Amino acid sequence: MCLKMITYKPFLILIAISLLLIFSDRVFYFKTPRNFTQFVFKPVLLGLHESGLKLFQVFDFLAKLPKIYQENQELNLKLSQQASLEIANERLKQENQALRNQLFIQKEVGLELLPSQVLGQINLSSQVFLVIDKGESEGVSNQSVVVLEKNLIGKIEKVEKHTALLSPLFGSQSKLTVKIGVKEAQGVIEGELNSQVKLTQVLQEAQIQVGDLILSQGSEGIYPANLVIGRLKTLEKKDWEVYQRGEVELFWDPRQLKTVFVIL
Amino acid sequence: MKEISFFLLLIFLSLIQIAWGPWLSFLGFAIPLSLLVLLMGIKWFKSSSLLIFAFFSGLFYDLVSSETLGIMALLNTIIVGVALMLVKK
Repeated sequence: MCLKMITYKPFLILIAISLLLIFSDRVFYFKTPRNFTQFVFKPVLLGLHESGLKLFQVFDFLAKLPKIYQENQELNLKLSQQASLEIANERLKQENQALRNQLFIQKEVGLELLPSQVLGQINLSSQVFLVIDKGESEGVSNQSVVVLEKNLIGKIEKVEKHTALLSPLFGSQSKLTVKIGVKEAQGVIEGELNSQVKLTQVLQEAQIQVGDLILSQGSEGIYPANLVIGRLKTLEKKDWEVYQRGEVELFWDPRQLKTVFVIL
Repeated sequence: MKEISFFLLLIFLSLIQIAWGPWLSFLGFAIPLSLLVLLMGIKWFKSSSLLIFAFFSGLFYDLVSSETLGIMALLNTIIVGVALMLVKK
């Protein structure tokens, strides 16, 4: 009944023709019409095939996109982990080297030293401080002196339980008496602009020159004597002035400081 | 004119199916498109014309793809016949 509705006759005729074609093709194999059609449509098929390949690449890429994204995320994570590991390694290496150097100095000087890491630099009331990772619980106290090898770095100004604020030599509030050169001329060094160290109060008759080594005098009762401050970088000597002045070059770079030692 | 356009569309679909291979069907392109064309054909043409179109496009496919002549023609005719039965009952 349904077949009647879809024009029964053509349907059957076409089915019959198809079957006949299948049968005759199996027997005779119609080569000529095949060759002709394939020859005519070959360029079209070629073009379509190429465009299909391109389309397939696009689909393939789109299908792989979530996986690629995930892989990229994982690689980024691994990369950052690797980078942090490398940083930690580098820090350990530097810490190790600093400890070795300090151990040698410690034996020489005979002081008890506590190694600590510099966590950062902050500004409080227009004064610069370095934050270190050791505090009261580790035995650090106010006015503790901080060194690196034989170099004086500064002193502790504020102590928390597990951290402390270190006032470096170049800090604006920093001031201490020093001896300069082989003749041990007296002077005072002061931090200036939180970035450099100035030498002042050196008497005109004192015989000092650029390049002289500057050491702590130890007269304040805070700093041990003979700690290295730096080298005299420039010298200003004016006859009408009471004192000579100069600029001090430190042997350490505040930006490179990682491990320092607190004298307990 | 409409008939020629429709037949050319069927021819084009056959060519695409040969050139792009079976993966296209998996991507859900060829089958839905063919279905859409079939529904369009059912709407626009008489059942007998549609059957003839299906037969000849199948025959074309057989010729280009070196398939046994008449196989796709038979298949297309049966599919369209069944579709017509389902739609026009």
